[in-house]
Amino acid sequence: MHALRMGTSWGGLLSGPMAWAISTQLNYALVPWQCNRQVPVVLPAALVLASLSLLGGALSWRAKRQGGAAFKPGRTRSTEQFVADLAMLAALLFALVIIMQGSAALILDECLR
Amino acid sequence: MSSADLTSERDLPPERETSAKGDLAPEHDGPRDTGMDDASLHRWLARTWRTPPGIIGALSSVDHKVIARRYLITAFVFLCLGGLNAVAMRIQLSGPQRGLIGPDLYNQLFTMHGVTMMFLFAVPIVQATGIYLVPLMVGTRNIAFPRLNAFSYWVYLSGGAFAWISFLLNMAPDVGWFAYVPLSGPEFGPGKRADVWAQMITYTEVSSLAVAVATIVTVLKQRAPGMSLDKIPLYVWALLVTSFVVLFAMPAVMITSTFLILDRLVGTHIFNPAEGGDALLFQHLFWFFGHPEVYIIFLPATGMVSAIIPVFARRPVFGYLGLVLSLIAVGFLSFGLWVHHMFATGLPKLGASFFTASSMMIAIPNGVQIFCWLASLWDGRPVIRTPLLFVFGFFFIFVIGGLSGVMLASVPLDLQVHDTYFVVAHFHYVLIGGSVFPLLGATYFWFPKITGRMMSERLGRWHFWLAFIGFNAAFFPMHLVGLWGMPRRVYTYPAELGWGNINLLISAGAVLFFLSFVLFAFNLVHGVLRGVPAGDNPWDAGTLEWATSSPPPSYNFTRIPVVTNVEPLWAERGTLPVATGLRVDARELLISTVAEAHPDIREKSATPSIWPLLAAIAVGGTFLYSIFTPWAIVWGAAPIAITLIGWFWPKGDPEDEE
Repeated sequence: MHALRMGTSWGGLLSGPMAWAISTQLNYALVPWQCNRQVPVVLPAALVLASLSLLGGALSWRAKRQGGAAFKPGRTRSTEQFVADLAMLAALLFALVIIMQGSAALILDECLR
Repeated sequence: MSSADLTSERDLPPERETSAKGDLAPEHDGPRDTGMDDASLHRWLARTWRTPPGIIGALSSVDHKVIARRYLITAFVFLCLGGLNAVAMRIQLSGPQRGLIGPDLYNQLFTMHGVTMMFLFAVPIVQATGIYLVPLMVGTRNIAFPRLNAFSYWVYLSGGAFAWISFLLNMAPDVGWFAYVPLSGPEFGPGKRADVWAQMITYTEVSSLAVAVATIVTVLKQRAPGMSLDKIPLYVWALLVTSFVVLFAMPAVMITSTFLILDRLVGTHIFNPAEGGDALLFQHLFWFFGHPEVYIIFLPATGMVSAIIPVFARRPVFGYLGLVLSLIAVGFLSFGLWVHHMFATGLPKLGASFFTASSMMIAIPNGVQIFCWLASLWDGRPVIRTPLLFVFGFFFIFVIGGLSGVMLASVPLDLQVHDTYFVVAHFHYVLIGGSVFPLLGATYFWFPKITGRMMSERLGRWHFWLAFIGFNAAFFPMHLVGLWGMPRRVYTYPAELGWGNINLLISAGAVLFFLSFVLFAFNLVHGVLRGVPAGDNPWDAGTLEWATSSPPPSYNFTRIPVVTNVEPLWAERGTLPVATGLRVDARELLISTVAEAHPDIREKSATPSIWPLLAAIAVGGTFLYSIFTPWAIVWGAAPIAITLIGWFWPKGDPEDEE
């Protein structure tokens, strides 16, 4: 619970790339499925994964405010803040990429080859 | 706090007393560097860290600087060979219907050019600069796993020799550097040419993976005390990210080449659609490696730019956080672009568009980098020297390559210009602009550190302008001729198409570009023989590699520096604070924590050994034999096992103590 209360500096660094990797693979695999069943899943999946990315960024933001793991011996607040800054920006960037990927579903037909 | 205070404060804690109970052998402790005078310390360290004399000694070396120098020279030789391939092709294409080179040799030439430049020059040379510089920049005495590092060089050398001896025997691969099936498969690729491609890949990727592992551990665990994550030099960050990309990308191409050789040698049908296989799988696997490969070459180059700019702008780099973010983001995103090489394969348009999105969005972190560098120069007092000239050349050429990249990320445009000279122009702008120009700048920048002498500034300027004009004359017109419809990989073209004049201009530019490298080679030799002595820090740079002599001694640093700033030599203008407490009679390193680089434990570093060379010969022999029979794996296992046992067998050195 420390991780939630004090924040996790690397949260966004994990969640951003992970959500984007899942989004790329999942949505790529979902295109033929969506074409066969005509159920729009690509865009909702992208929105959920973008939120996941931002959630990790929020944990990093909390770490920046609360100190993250700086309470541990041998850890300093400045390094925690550096990692948290890095992670928040990564979460934002990857959320943006996921939304860009998902928004293609607004324009293109899933069955078009 | 004075440096002296820091020195005493950061002394390593005395070792805990060991007892002889249990299975643990008591540790034999030796003399430490604490309180030792400089002359005695130098004598001890020089004896402990030296490479043994003689040929066997030289072949046994595990000094990261010695291995890196070998890598750099070998990679430069391969650059020259690959360049000669290109010159031969350009002479053939300088006019319509020239009969200098026939189609079969031309196919081998463009394949060898691509293979050599990508696998034998670009990746090894960026990793080699890392092998030389990373341990110096993080303030340690040798790279992690030094014998693995030596092994990697021998495997690389044997892979390169294998490819080029095959070329001399007229059995070089002729299927393009990405060797698509079914062209390279058993149905359409008779003989051993495609097998040479497949196994050459395996050699070089084994080598590359070994270097990546050693680099990652060096950066994460061997940083000087105080070099927390926010004080790591950007070049080291770049090499760290690159090494992780290597770790995840290279296995994909090794699987591709292994599957291919299984299809060709064992009779599997992994890539044969007629028997339930999948030809497109080859492209997916190859480009899952192939696109990150571009960034494996490019990211270290950005690290070099980030190292050069602050020195010549005379101020710390602007936007350290943004630059680190860019490196990490590009490292990840490089794995999400591969399908943009396959837009012409009939994939669903919506699926392809996800890769369009990533391909366009990767421009954001790359753009952040460019703006951070420009801001550093804008706010600094730039001193224009040859390394900075090459950085300016990089800006100009790479930005053009990036813009044509954004164009190619669009499916409709890509379909129009697929496999034309427009694509050839684009990737040469990206690869030469993005990697070779920074590498040339880096050569002028770090040459004094490696050799102790300066390269000629006047020749350097001539070199830059010749290279810049030659490059643009050779490659810019390729955009046009590509848009006019000239396909790549054709050995000639009919006069009626009207491509003769522009191809002559391209060939003239290529010759000019080639001459710039002749001048560069002359400047290198001139620098080594007659260059002005450089001193320890000729550019007044701020990172740790400049804190030691030029060239550095075998042990790198007399005492391990303590880092208080991202540019430690600028922050501590007087004396650099140091940590003491390491043994001097055995090769001992300081291991630090990952995030804060707090001194953690002392660890031994491996002594010189001939076994990595013997292991590489066993591995290389097995790979070579395996293009003829799959039983090579069985027969090759025995010598490989024997050499590995010899490698790890304790020799009774102090370094073998638990």
